[in-house]
Amino acid sequence: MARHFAKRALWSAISLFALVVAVFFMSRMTGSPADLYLPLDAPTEMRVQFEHLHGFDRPVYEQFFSFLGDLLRFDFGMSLRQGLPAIDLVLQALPTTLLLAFYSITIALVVAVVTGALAAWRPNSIFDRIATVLSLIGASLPNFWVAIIGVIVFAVTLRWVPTSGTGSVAQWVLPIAVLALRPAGLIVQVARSSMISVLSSAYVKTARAKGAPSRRILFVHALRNGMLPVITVAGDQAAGIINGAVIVETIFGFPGVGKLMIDSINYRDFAVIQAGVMVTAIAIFLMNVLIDLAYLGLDPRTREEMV
Amino acid sequence: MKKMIRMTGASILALAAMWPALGAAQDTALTIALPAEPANIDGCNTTVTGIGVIVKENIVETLTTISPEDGSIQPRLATEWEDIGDGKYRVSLREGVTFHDGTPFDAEAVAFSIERLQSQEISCLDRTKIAGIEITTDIIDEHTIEIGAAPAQVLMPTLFSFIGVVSPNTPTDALSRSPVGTGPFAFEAWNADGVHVARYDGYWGEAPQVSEATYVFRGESALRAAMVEIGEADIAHDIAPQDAVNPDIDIPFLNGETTRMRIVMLPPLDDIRVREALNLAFDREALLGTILSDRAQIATQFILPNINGHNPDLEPWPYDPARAQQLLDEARADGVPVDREIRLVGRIGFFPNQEEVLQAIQQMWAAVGFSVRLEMMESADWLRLVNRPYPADREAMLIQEQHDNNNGDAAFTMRFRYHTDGQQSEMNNAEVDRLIDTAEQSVGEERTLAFQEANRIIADEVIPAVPMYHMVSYMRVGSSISYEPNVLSLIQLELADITFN
Amino acid sequence: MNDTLLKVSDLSVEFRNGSTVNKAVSGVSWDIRRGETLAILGESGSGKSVSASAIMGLIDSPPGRITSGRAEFDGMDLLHLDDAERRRINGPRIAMIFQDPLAHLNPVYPIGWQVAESMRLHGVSPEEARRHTLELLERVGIRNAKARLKDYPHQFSGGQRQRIMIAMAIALKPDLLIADEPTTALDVTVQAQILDLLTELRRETGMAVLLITHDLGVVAQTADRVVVMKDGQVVERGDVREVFGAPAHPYTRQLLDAVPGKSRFRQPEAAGERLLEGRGVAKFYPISAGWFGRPVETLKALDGVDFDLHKGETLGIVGESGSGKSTLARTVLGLTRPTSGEIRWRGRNVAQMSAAELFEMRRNLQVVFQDPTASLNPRMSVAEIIAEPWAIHKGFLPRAQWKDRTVELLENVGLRAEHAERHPHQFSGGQRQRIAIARALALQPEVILCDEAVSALDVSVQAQVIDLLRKLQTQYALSYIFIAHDLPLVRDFADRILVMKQGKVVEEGTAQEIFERPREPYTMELIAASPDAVPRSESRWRSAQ
Repeated sequence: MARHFAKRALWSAISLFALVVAVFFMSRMTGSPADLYLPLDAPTEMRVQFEHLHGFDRPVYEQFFSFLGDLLRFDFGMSLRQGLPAIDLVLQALPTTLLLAFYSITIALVVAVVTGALAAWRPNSIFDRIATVLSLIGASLPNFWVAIIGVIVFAVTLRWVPTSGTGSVAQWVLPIAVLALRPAGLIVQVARSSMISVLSSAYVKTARAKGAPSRRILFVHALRNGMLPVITVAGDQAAGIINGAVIVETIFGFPGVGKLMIDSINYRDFAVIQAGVMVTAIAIFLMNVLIDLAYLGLDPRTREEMV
Repeated sequence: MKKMIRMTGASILALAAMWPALGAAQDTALTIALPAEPANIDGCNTTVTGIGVIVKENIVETLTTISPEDGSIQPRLATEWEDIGDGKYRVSLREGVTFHDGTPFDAEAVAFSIERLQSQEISCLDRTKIAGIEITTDIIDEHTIEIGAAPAQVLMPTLFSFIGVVSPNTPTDALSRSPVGTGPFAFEAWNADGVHVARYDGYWGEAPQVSEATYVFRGESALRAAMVEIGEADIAHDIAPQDAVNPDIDIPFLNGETTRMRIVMLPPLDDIRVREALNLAFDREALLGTILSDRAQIATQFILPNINGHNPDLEPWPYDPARAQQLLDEARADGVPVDREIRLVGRIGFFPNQEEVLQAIQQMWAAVGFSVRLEMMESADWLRLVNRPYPADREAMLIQEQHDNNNGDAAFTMRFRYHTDGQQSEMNNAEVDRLIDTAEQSVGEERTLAFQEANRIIADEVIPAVPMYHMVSYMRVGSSISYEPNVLSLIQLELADITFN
Repeated sequence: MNDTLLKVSDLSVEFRNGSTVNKAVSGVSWDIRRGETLAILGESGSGKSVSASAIMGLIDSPPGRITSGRAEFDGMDLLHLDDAERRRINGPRIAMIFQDPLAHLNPVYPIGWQVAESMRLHGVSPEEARRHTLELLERVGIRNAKARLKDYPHQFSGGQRQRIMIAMAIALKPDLLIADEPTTALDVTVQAQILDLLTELRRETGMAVLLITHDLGVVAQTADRVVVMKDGQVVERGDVREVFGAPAHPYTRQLLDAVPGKSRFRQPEAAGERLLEGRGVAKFYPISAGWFGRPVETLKALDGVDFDLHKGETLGIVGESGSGKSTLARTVLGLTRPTSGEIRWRGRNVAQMSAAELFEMRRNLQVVFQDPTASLNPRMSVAEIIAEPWAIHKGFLPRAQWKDRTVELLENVGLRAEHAERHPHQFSGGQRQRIAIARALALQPEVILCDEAVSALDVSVQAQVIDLLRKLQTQYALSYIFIAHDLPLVRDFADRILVMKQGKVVEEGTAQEIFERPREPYTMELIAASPDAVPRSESRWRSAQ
């Protein structure tokens, strides 16, 4: 099994490298970023000086090889915008995004699985119908809209939470709620249908024949089996949150990786883009490893497939 | 089951206990919500929007300042200046001033700052204001310095307003994120909560009412406005018109920007009748009070009325679609390809509702027979179109532009927009060139008149653009404070001007 | 004197599906006495399983509903219990084992945990439960039980899994064990072992067994009394010997007549032309790839098999699961390439045939698969299904004649012309298999390969389909390769029989030779294990050991 993960890691490293190379060349195809950093009325000589200072006047392949050399020392270069090492900026921003992702996905998962399981227990009951409608709404609403509405309703009108910022626990409530909404909605649906099929399975019948009480049947016998498709979807969503917390970070002023990436892309801050892509890709790879481990833990049948 | 309920209840209580009390801010502390977090807050970048608003005259002071009312030059760290010829000025420096780190303010500090500004090691953006000019310094004594410019600058005192004086201990190899200056506020910290500054007790001038300020960054305008509404912030900087719904606290002000559409004068736009028609078919009044603020002003030229060189006799274009159509017909009869499709290039992010504005204008032009296609671009691509050298395959097009000249004099606009060798000029008019060259070398009345005449020729005889509006911004100011925004407020917000009610 | 354990009176259950109501059980009554084995015998759709599920409260309602009846057990009515009462019955007093043990065991928990749970649920302490689990597993014959407590269901064989289910069921020494088709999914030899185990346990503990099955042989071997059900109603009941010896109801008689293995053996005629032969056919599958795809172990599905098929004869291939008979079928049909060995059609090596020759061979070699539901495209009408071979082998039959020929074929297999426009789901299992046979006949092949073609059918339907196959054989001079896991089935149908085990042919001979004079021990095992539909006091299996 360790060999399986080693193989996975090797392939991921290769894809990662290909990704970084692709980002390197594609971003440079957008031309010199000088214009974005200098005021409109900057004279040509300032542009030339800027490009020379950052090495953009060298031929692309030369830039690439020196980039590779730096890469081996984990040096992604300096941020054009802030003049600080790109990798530092990314690593500084990463914990915020990771925390956001972690809390959101965990809350979404817990709430959604329990709701889905309870809804599956009595399909087409009032609870089930309400849960289905709410989950579909949650999964369909665009999160920038929800964020703004959330601020207007809960912060401005009801004054239950502050509008933005990162300092206190209260300031994390809205961002996490906004981020968790879509995954929760999706997972409720997946959990529900998975649980419905599990609940009609033969081994649940056996449990009832053994005299097990309903709650035990639901949460002990059925749930673990029903979780497998949920884990896949949840992992997918978590990877998406790492990438897509941009909007939430921008609106609520969270200095995370998403915001950093968008700003860097707008400003053609190549070094930060590269560092960000690399770090995000590694995070997603690790996420996939976690999903694999979760599968192994949940379903003993997969342990032999992995050998 | 009961256990689960009890545990949930306990966690909710624990969370509630950690809730911060809302609105428990100190009496004289201020929070300002800005749209974008700057890359740095170096004292040699005070002319950059987003940086100046925090730094200029708050943390780092300049030698002189420009009055927002009339554009006159006011002393700040320089108290007197005298033109001693040969491009040099003798400048007397204010006494009794110290930097936030205790270093005394003297001629050496000024020389240091000027040298740092021009250094090739770092990209000080204020340098663009002195592009092509080499500034030299000569220390006479502790509070006297001779500053020279080559070539000699008529507007030297204006140039002094671009020079921020930073502590001699400022590193010279990187742009600073913790500036040290002489201003009424000292930099405290820049963390996830924003930029923090606090009143500096050793300030040479009058102590401001504000004791400390925090700048927070929220890209979403509705959020900035909401923060002031519930008291989380005191000032919401630059909010969109649709969020400025409360006349008690939302203050509109001319923000110093002027918009226009540059005409790339290739066929059919090389025919002056076509350019006239473009201007005549545009109903400028219609957009005011609807998708643009009713406080915006119709522009006749690319600088505001308070700028030296603005020609007050120029009239806005009338709205005359019939005449426009007539001109087009005449041109068409002469073989000008007026039916060719013309691109209208807009740049994303200039002002709120801009796409709707451009669409409205496009419709007005279509109504008289133009065929115009609107295209929105992002800054990098747009920059390639507006700066020399222009792409060789450019066709006839209209390019949306926005320009702010807050430096009191038309010189900062005229050359690079209208002179034959101007970086962003489409023109090649000998008379205009001559007037600009003359004006730049003149002072006083002669200067003013030369610029005004140049503007007249441009507006009436060349018509290189479709002038639009002097733009208005909104600022939401919390009711616990008083602040009067002015033409400079977007790039310079002096905390000392804020008082508490 | 009243040792009636459970008395079911006038039980009726119906299922609602949208607007249609299906009366699964109507007014059924029976009783079971302490310590006896009562069999409920019926084919699919008879309602036998539903009655048992109702007793345990396992019917999902909706869509099912118990509309009438009582089930008296120890002074309680089992059909109307609340949850707490139900939990006191299910497990400690009445237990149940099911047909497909792999599906009925939770795949994510170790078997030791699952067996112990039966006890933990009802108040036994975890340590006591663990100890007792070990005892139970050893009792039901799981070797190396202590080491295997932590193993998962998928790591056991089918027979072992059923033993584990039995262990779970008897853990609390229930008064009644309900066994719903407990051996149907198992191999014949394993089936015999399980039935013996049940009999032993019954004797040891004195529990009653309610055995639900469609297999008359099983009933004859293990039951004391039998209740025969058809279409939701009881048609006959009584002592097994009496009912089997002198059946009163025509349906019972029909069932007994349908049991195969009662006619004469077929005598092979002079061998005709050799159509198909296999020499040294082997098929190996690699399992568990190493770093670069090198296989670490191989599964030898076929390990050097020889066979012949002559014109006009029926070759029976019999084996249990893992014997390789299905792999052989796929290899013959060309769905898999053999790893080594040759298959020759009329002397010509199939692997060396050109595409045209192969196409011609395929026309002559048709197949009927086991599961008629899966082998008929649900979206095609019967007419389309039967006509498809003509669409593939263009030129065989001009299009204008398709309709008429389809009707001919349908009538040939015992269906009617109007069935042509319907879709598969509108037919019963037996009818679907007839459609599959009609399709197989469409190209007038010389050989039809029947891969467990009747295994999924009810007993009476099996007999009908085999009759049909016999009739068609004489009519069209067909040759059959008939693959089955059940020896008695091929007894009156095959000319020659191959017995396979673990990829090898163990024994070969005419039907008479195999059944009357088996030479190999395995063949003898197989014959002995097939339950005979003649009630005995001691199982033949036991005596054969």
